[in-house]
Amino acid sequence: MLVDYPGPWTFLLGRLDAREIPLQNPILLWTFVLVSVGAVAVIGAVTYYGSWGYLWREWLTSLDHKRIGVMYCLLGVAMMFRGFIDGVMMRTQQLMAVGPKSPGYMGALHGYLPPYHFGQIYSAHGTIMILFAITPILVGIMNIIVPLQIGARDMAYPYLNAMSFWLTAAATGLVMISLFVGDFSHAGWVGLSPLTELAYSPGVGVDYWSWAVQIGGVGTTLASINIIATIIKMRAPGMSWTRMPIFCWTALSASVVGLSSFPVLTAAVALLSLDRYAGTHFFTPGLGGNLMLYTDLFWIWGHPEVYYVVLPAFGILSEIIPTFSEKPLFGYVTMAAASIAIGGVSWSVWLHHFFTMGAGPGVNAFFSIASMLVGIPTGVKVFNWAFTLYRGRVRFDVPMLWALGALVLLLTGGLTGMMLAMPAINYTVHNSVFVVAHFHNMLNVVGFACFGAINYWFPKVFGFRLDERTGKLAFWFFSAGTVVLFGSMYALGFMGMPRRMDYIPFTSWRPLLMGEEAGILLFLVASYYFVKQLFVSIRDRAKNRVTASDAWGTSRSLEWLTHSPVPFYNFAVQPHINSRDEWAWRREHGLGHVRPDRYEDIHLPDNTPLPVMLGACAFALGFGLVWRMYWLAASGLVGIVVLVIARSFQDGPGHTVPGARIRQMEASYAAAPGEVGAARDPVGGVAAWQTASAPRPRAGDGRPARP
Amino acid sequence: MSIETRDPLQHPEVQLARGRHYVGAYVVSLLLTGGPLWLVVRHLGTPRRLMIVVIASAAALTLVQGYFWLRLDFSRTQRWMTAALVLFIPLVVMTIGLTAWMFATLYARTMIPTLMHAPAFGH
Ligand code: HEM
Ligand SMILES: [Cu+2]
Repeated sequence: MLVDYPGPWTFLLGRLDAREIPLQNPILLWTFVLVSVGAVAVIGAVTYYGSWGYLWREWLTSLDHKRIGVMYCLLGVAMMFRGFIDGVMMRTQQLMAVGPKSPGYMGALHGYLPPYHFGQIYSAHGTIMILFAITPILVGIMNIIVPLQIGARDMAYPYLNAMSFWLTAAATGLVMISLFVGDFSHAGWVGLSPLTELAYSPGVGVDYWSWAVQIGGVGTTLASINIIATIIKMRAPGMSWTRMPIFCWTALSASVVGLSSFPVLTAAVALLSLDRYAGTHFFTPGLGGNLMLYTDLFWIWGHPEVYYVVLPAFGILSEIIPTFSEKPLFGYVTMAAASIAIGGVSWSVWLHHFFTMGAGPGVNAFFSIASMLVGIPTGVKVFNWAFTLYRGRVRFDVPMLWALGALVLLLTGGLTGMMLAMPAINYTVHNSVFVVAHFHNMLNVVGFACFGAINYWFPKVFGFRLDERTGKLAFWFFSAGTVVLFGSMYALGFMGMPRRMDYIPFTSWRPLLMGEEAGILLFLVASYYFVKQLFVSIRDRAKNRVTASDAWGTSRSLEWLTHSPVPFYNFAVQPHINSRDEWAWRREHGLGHVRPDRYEDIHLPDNTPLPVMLGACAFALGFGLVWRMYWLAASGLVGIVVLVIARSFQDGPGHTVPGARIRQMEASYAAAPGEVGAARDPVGGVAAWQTASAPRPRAGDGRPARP
Repeated sequence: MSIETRDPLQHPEVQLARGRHYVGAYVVSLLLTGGPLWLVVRHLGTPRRLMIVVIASAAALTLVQGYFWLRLDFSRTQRWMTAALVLFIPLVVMTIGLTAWMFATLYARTMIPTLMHAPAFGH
């Protein structure tokens, strides 16, 4: 053994033993019961409807970028709920534990969460929300939309795409299982050093965190490579750089940022793991270690990461706002340039996260000025959006509401960011909840954009719109929650409340803490309406069915050219691009519904189970390492190596869909808006997604067609 | 996109250096490292001149290896890889440079004894 840690170790189970399953904790016990019931219900339903084969063939083994994107989004939304529950628990604890007289329950001195449990919750909340909720949702949206917007059949590397997804899923699985087996890191989402070192965190919590981050980091790096290659290499003829939709520009910029920064995180956390497993001293205090180097490396990734999430959000706004202003985006060229510039500047500002560490004034001044430079391209974007709205015929559909909400939040978040970027101000509010309010404000910009994107592109992917009424209610409650919660939090920040407190000594802060709790209750109502929106929309899908390729009537970019829902081959014939805003151009020239007279064969890759299996092996590797079950970790690693080698011998020839089949499928789509084609009928047009089955000529009976 | 082939190994992007190029570049690399080393060992030239020679041959070495081993050139199939490298260099210089600058000022001000004497920072 290279390092010393407390507790027993056995060959078979490593550090794991029955006591690590926290049955004595009532909160976790109930969560476990709830999750088990949910799992049984889902498994039961899938079995009852006999959908296992369908699920496996059409989804889990799929290489189709749209399905992988949908799975990314589902994963992200599910994790967002998990992270949200963490948020509710933290807010409630802080409200209950105010002042020395506040009572304690369930083993806590004050409130209901002992400090160690509270620490795990805020660490899990941050890690989940940033890495396993927002990031997957955005990667999912990019996955679905980027190939459609550039007129490609799929991503550049469909297999790699599935693999990235399953690595992300494996990492998410590690975070989730830490709820029920062992515990999670208590050292914050940033992995505060040297708290993460073995001497100070001898349990498995930090290991769960670090392996999840490393596996997920590899997944996201690969996803970035894929998106860059797709945009550079797969654009349809005529789709020159200056005709590319802004969302693709932002996806490109974000992916370059992701590709260059995620490896730094993976490496930094890998060094930390070496400290914890091999006894090295990269970040230990003493023995030559340098714990400040960890902070430096973390933020070399951390700041670019915030732009990795905000850039696609900017792209989404740039798609939604013109559609619902019924006019082209103002300042296309400056918008594209600003997207690249924001990505570029994002590499040179990371030190603003630790101005107070004690670097010299020259260093702090440099990073302060660099941080403020970000405001220039961001300002350009805001003005462009404003000028797009100006004199537009603005419609307030649900996606537009989310987009406009995001603009307002961008203003306050950006301004508080500027304040934090001044070292003099930063020294007074660093590590206070003012910072927390700032970055939630900014991440809410991303969240609003994600909800906007889900509402905006849902009909493209599933063939029916999401319900308006519940969608608007969700929006207004979410916005109210944002203002009430983070308004109170900004105020508390100015009053000097430090972040991450499980006990609040000053009763004078109670009113604002109550404000925060009220805000999170509004969020709770909003999430009820979001779920209801999904439920109502699926139930009433016939009512909200989209009968034209263009769900909103005023969309502009290429993805609206093909059918809704998008068939598995994306475009029946490869589109030739004539203009920026191709779909608007065709619509204005009366070319919207022209059908080609010749269909060519389409070649597609075969589905393969290897990516799922790779994900499973990665999970085994991570889980084995967390518990130091070295046999399991080694098997996982060997499995990965074997699968990668197997894949290189077994690259199937793919399959070809003959042109005649394409003609047949195309004919089953409505020829003109208002008419209902056969392919649209079953659940959200699932039939149109079937890769193996012929379209059903008869009207569907509401059940998905089986291959 | 204009090249139509089913065999991924036929793509020029994924092909590695040919044997002839590989060996050639290896010999040139040996010369470009061995030469300056010999000059330095023999003290042939002023330190200033030696430094220029060392830097120049290191730069040449980068180009030789990039071109013959990593196949970075401006042809249609490879130019994105070359662009990626060119974009990558400022990033490395920036992150490492700014980090070094930060630590140099930080150590002086935080006065952590072990770090203040770290040889990397010239103390
Ligand atoms: C693009 C959207 C943005 C996001 C998602 C974001 C997110 C974050 C996050 C996650 C943190 C710190 C977290 C922590 O300490 O745990 C943070 C802190 C900070 N942000 Fe932002 N931010 C954004 C925009 C900006 C902008 C535009 C600026 C300034 C120009 C800025 C300046 C700062 C500063 C100076 C801090 C450090 C505060 C401190 O720790 O004392 N941010 N932000
Ligand atoms: Cu930052």
